Amino acid sequence: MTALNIKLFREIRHLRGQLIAIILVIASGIASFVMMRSMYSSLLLTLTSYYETARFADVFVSARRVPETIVPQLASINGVAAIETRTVVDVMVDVPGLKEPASATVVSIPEDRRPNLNDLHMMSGSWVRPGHEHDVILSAAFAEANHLSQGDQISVVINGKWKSLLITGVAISPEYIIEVSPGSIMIDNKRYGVMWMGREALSAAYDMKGAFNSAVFSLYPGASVNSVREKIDVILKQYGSMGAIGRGDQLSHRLISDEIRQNEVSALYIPVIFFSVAVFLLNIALVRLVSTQRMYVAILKAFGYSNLSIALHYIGFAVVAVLGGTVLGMILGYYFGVQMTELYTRFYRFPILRFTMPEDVLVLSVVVSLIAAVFGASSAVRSAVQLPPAEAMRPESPKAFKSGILDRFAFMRSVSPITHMIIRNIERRPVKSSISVVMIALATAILIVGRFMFDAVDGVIDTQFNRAQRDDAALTFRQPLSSPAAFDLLRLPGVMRVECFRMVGVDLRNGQYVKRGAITGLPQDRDLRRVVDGRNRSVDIPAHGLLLTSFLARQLHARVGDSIDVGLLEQDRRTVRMPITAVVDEIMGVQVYMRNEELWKLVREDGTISGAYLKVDHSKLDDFYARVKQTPAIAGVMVRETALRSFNETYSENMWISTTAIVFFAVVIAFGVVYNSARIALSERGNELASLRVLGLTRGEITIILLGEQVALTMAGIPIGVAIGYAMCAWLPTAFETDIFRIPFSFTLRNVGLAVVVIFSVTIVTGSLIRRRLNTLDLVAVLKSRE
Amino acid sequence: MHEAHSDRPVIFKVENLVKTYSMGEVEVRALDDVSLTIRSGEQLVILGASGSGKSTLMNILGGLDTPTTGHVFYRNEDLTHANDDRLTQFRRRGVGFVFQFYNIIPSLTALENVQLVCDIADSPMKATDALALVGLSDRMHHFPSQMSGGEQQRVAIARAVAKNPDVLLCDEPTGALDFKTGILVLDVIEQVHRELDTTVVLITHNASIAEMADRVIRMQSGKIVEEFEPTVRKKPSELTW
Ligand SMILES: Nc1ncnc2c1ncn2[C@@H]1O[C@H](COP(=O)(O)OP(=O)(O)O)[C@@H](O)[C@H]1O
Ligand SMILES: [Mg+2]
Repeated sequence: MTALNIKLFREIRHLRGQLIAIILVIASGIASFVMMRSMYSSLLLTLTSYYETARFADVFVSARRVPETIVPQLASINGVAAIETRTVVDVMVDVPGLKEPASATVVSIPEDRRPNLNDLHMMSGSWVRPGHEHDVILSAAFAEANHLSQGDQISVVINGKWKSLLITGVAISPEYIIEVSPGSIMIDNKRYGVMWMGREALSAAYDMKGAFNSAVFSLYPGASVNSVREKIDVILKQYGSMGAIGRGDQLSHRLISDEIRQNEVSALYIPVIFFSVAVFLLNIALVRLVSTQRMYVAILKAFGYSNLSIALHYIGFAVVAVLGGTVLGMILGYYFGVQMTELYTRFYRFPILRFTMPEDVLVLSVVVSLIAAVFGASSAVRSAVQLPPAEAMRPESPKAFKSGILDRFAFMRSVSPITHMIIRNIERRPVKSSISVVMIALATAILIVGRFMFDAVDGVIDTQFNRAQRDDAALTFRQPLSSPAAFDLLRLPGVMRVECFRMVGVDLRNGQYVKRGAITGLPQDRDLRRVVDGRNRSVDIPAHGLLLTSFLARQLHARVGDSIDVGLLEQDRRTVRMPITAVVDEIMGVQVYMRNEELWKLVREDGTISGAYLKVDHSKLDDFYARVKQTPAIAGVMVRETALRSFNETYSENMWISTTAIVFFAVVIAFGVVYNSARIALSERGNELASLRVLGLTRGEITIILLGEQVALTMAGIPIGVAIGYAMCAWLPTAFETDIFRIPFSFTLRNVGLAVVVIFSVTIVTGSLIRRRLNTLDLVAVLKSRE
Repeated sequence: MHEAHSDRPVIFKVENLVKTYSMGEVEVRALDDVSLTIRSGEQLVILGASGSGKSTLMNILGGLDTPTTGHVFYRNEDLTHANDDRLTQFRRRGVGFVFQFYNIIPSLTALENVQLVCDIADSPMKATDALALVGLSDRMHHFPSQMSGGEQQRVAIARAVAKNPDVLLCDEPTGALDFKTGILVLDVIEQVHRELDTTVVLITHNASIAEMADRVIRMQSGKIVEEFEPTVRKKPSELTW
C-alpha cells in the first residue's frame, strides 16, 4: 500500500461519523432504487411470462345472452386470433364458518379441455369433471382466506336455489390476479372470491345452453385493439353488449399495472432525492477536508506528487463512502425487496413471484454511485489541484466576515454577540445554508406527504362509511323487483329501516366524450345513503335532471346546465337528452344520481327497485344473515361493519411498514444534513469555541453557538417543508383520481406535528452527538497553535 | 516597590506544583516542585527559555489545566481539585487572558468581541470604554480580518480587561508581533495595570521585557531558578530588543 493510501485510510477513520452519515444516505437511495426497480422488473417479467403461458386475453366483452352461432362471425374479425366464450354470473355464497353471506363471481370453464384463453394455473386438486355439475374450483385467495381446500363443500345460490358444491381444486387465473368485488373499493378475500364451474352445469342453470354472456379474445401481434373492439360492439349490440374493453380497462390488469408503474416512477425520483443529498454532503465534507489539509497538499505537491494523484486521492475518499453505501444499500434493498414480495403475494396471485435483482440494476447502482462520488468530490478536488504550493504552506488567513444583510436592520444592534455569531456564520455561506434548509424542508415534506397518503385512505373510509353509507347492510336483488318487496324486507329479522334504490346502467355521452356508468335513483327522504360533498356535507338530489360527481362531469367536459345524452342499457335502450342540474365533489369517482320517481319515469317503470339499504338491529344480525342466505331473490349483501373491519386488518400492516420506511428516509436525510453540517462547523470553529471556553463561556453557551446554526437552519427548513407538503397534498388528489374513487384533500395538524417533532428531534439528538465532542475540546492545545 | 505590595492580599499561592506529561514511555516534567505567591496589584514577569514550563504554570493559574501534584489557591479557595463548572466560573469572573495568538472571534466585530465577554461578566466596564482604553475607539465596527495583528491583539486585551478581572494573564502577548507593535501592546498592558490597578502576570522568553516588571521570576526546566526585583523599572517605550 502506498503512503498516500495509508493516509487515506487514516483520514477515513478520523471522519467516520460523517462517513457513516453519507453512507446511510447513499444506502437509502440505493436500497430504494434496487428494491423498487427490481420489484418493477420482477413484476413485469412475472406478469409477461404468466400472461403468455396462461394465454391471457387482449379484449373482453360481456353481454346479456349471445347465441353460440355468432362465434364464427366474431372469430372472423380481422386481427382476432382466438376466442373463448363463457358464462359468468355473480352469486351469493355460504362459506362454512362465516356468518354473513359472501359473494362470488362464477366463471365457466370447459369440462373436457383447458380454456383457449385465460387458462387456470392449478395450485392443488384437479379440474372439474364432465357430468359432475357440482364440481367447483376456487380461487386461491378466497380458498386460503376461508381455509377451504379440495374435498371441502361450499354452498352457492345457483339461479335462485342453494346448491352444495364440491371443491375439486384451487387455482389462480391471469384474469383475477387481484380479486376486487365489482363496485367495491377494497379487497376482502374472505367475502368475495372467484370460482370456476363446468360450462354445462352453469349454462343449464342460467338458461345459457348454446349461448354465452361473456367472451374473451386474443389478437394477432400488431392488431389494433380499438378496431377489433369496434367490430365486436357492432356485432354484439343487439345482444345487450356492455361494450368490449381492452386489457387497459380490465380491472385486475389495471390495478397491477398501476402498481408496476408506481414502482417504476418511484424508483426514479426517490433515489434522485437521496443522491442529491449525498452529493451535497460529500461536497461539504471534502471541501472541509481539503481546507484543513492544504499544508499537506502543498507538501505533497512540493515532493512531486502530480495533480492527478492528488485528485484521485480525494476522489478515493468519496468512492469509499459511496461504495460502502452502495453495498449496504444493495443488502437492504434485497432484504426489503423480499419482504415487499411477500406482501405482494398476499394480494397479487401469480404462479410464482420471486424477488430477483437484475444485473443491470446492480451495475446501474454502482455507476450512478460512482458518478455521485465524482460529482460530490469535484469542487474539493478542484480547490486541491488549483492550490499553489507556496501559498498553501501558509496557514489560512482569518476567515473574512462582513456585515450581512440582517446587520442593516436596527434589531440586530440589540441582539447578543452569540446571536450575531450564529447569524453571520449562516450568512457567510449562503449557498450551503440554503441547500441545508432545502434538504431539511425535503425531509419534512417527505414525512407530511407520506402520512398524507394514509390520512387520505382514512378520509375515504370515514367519508364513505361514516357519512355517506350509514346503513348496516346493503342488499342487491338478482333482478329489479316491484316496490312491495320493500315491505318483505322489513320482515327480515332485526331490520328497522329500509331505503330502496333503483340502479340503471347507462352510457353517458357529451359530444365526443363517452363514459359508462349507472344512474342510482334514491328517494328524496332518506337517511341511510347520503350523497356527501368534499366537505362532508350532505347534498340534496335535485328534483329534476342529473346529479353528477365532479370527476365524471370533468371527464365528460360538461357543466351544470349542459344537457348530455343518456343511453339506457336496460329496457328499451332509448337515448334521452337530459340536463345536468347539479355536480357534487363526492369521493366516489363515476356516479350519477337522480330522484327515484324521476328515474322510474325515465325507464318507464312503476316503482321497481334494484336493492335496498337497511338498518339492522345488531343483536339480531345472525338471524338476519341466516334469513338473507335463504332468500333467493337477493343476489348479494354488503355488510358495512365487516367490510370496514377487513379493510382495516389488511391496511394497518401495510400502513405500518410504509410509515416506518418514510420516517426512516426522512430521519436519514435530516440526520445526514445536520450531522455533517455540525461536524464541519465543529472542525472549522473548534479553536474558536475552545478559546471561548478559555474566556469563561460554559459548555452550554458554546453548545448554543455551535448548534444554534443547525437549529436555526432546521427551523427555517421546517416551515418551507410544511409549505411544500401542503402543495403536494393539494396536488396529489388530482394526480391519483380514478373512476373508482378520489382521494380527498387533507392536511392535518397531526401530520404536520409529527413531521415537526421528528425533524426537530433528529436535529436535537444529532446535535447532542456532536455536543459530546465539545466536552473533550482541548483548551490548552488551542492556545499553542493556530488552526 | 516590592515593599508596597507585601501587605497587599494574596491572589495566587501555589505550593509544590508538579506537572508531568507522559508521552508513551517518556515522562516530561513540565513543572517540577514550583512554589510561588502572587499579590494583588503587582506586575509579575515570568521569564524563561522556550520549554521551561512558563505556559504550563500560567495555564494552571488560569484554571485551564490542573496540576499532577501540589496545590493552587486563588485567594482562599483551593482550585486544585475544582470541577469544570467551578473553573469555568473562575475564568469567567476572575481572570483575563491574552495569548500569543489573539484568538478573537472572526465572525464578530471588535466591539462585539468585547461585548461577548461583558455579557457574561459580573460587573464589566462598558465595551466601548474597554476599546477606548486600548486606543481602538475608531475601529470598533471592524471585523478581525480587517485589522492588523497589533490591533487584533489590542482587541484581545480590551476583551480580557473589560470584565474587570482580578488578574490579567498574558502568555507571550508580543510573540507574533514586530518590535514596534509589540511595544505598543506592552504599553497598553502597562496602562491597564496602572489605571485599573489590575494584577498582571506576563510571560516572555525576552529578557528585555522583564525590565518593566515589579518582580521577575526566572524558570528553567520546570523549576524556579531565580527571583528578583529589577533595580530600575522601565516603561515599555524605553525597552529595546
Ligand atoms: N500537552 C503536552 N504534552 C506533552 N508535553 C507537553 C505538553 N505541554 C507542554 N509539554 C512539555 O512541557 C514542557 C513545558 O512546556 P511549556 O509550559 O509550554 O513551556 P514554555 O511555555 O515555557 O515554552 C515542554 O517540554 C513541553 O514540551
Ligand atoms: Mg509557552
